[in-house]
Amino acid sequence: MRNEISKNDKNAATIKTGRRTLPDKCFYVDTQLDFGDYSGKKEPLFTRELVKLCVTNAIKQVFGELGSATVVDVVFLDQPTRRIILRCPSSFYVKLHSSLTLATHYEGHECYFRVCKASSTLLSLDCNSRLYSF
Amino acid sequence: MVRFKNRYFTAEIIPLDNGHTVQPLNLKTYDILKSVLATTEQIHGEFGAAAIKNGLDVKYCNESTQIAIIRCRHGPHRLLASSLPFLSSIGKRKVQLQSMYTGATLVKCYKFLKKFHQEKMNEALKMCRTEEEKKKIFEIMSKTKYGL
Repeated sequence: MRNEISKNDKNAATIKTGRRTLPDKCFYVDTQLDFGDYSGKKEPLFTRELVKLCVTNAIKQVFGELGSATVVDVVFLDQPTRRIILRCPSSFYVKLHSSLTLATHYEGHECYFRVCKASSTLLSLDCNSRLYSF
Repeated sequence: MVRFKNRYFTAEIIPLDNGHTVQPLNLKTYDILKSVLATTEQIHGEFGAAAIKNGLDVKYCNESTQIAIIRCRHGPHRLLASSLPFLSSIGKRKVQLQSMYTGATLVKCYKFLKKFHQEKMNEALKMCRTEEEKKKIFEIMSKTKYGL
C-alpha cells in the first residue's frame, strides 16, 4: 500500500514538471585487454573489427547462438594502452560481463579482459566521485 | 517446503533417411542424452548445457513407437525446449524430434501417451475391413519393446 501511494506521488510530480526518466537503452563497459607473458612472440593486430570478433566469439562460447543474438559495438579503441569501450543493450550487460570474464583467446594469443568501469552513461566512465570536485 | 520440480518432454523421434534402407532405429538412452547436450551447447552455449545437465535424464524410450520422454529441471526447461527443434541426429542416424506433450509429472505423460496410442489404434482399425486384418494389427501393436 505504501509503495503504491509513493508511486502515485511520483507520477503526480512528474506530470506536473513534465520530466520523465526513460529506462536506459545501452550499457557502456570500459575494459582493458591484457596479454600475459608474450615476450618473444609477435604482438597481434589490434583493430575494431578484430576486437568485436573476439568479444562475439567469447559470448557465443558461453551463451551459444541464441544467447549471442545481440549487437555489441566497439565505441572507442586505444592502441597503445589497449583500452576498449564496448556498448551493449542494457538487458544484455550481465551476459557480456560474464563472458568477458571467461574470454581467453584473442587471435590465437592467450589474453584476459579486465573490466575497469561499467555504466549506462558514457560520460560517467570518465568521472570519478573521488577525484571530481563538485 | 521447497521441492524439486521437473518437466517431462514427450517427443516423437522421426527418422529422416528412410529412402535407402529400412534399418531398425536403435534408440539408446545414452545416445539421446549425448545429442541433447550437444545441441543445447550449440544453441545456448556452455551456460545452457551446464544449466540443463543436473536433472537431465531419459525416462522412457520406446523403439517400436519411437517415443521418448526426457526429464529436465523446472527453470532450465525453457532452454531445453527451445533447443529440441534443432536436434538433427541421434547416434549416427539423421532424425527429427517432434515434441507432443510437456508434463509436470510422469503420470500425466503416461496418461497422454495412453490416449495417443488409443487414437492411433482406432485410426488403424478403421482402415481395415476384415476381422483377420484387425487381429493382425492387434498382434503388431502388442509386440512393443521399450528400454529404460
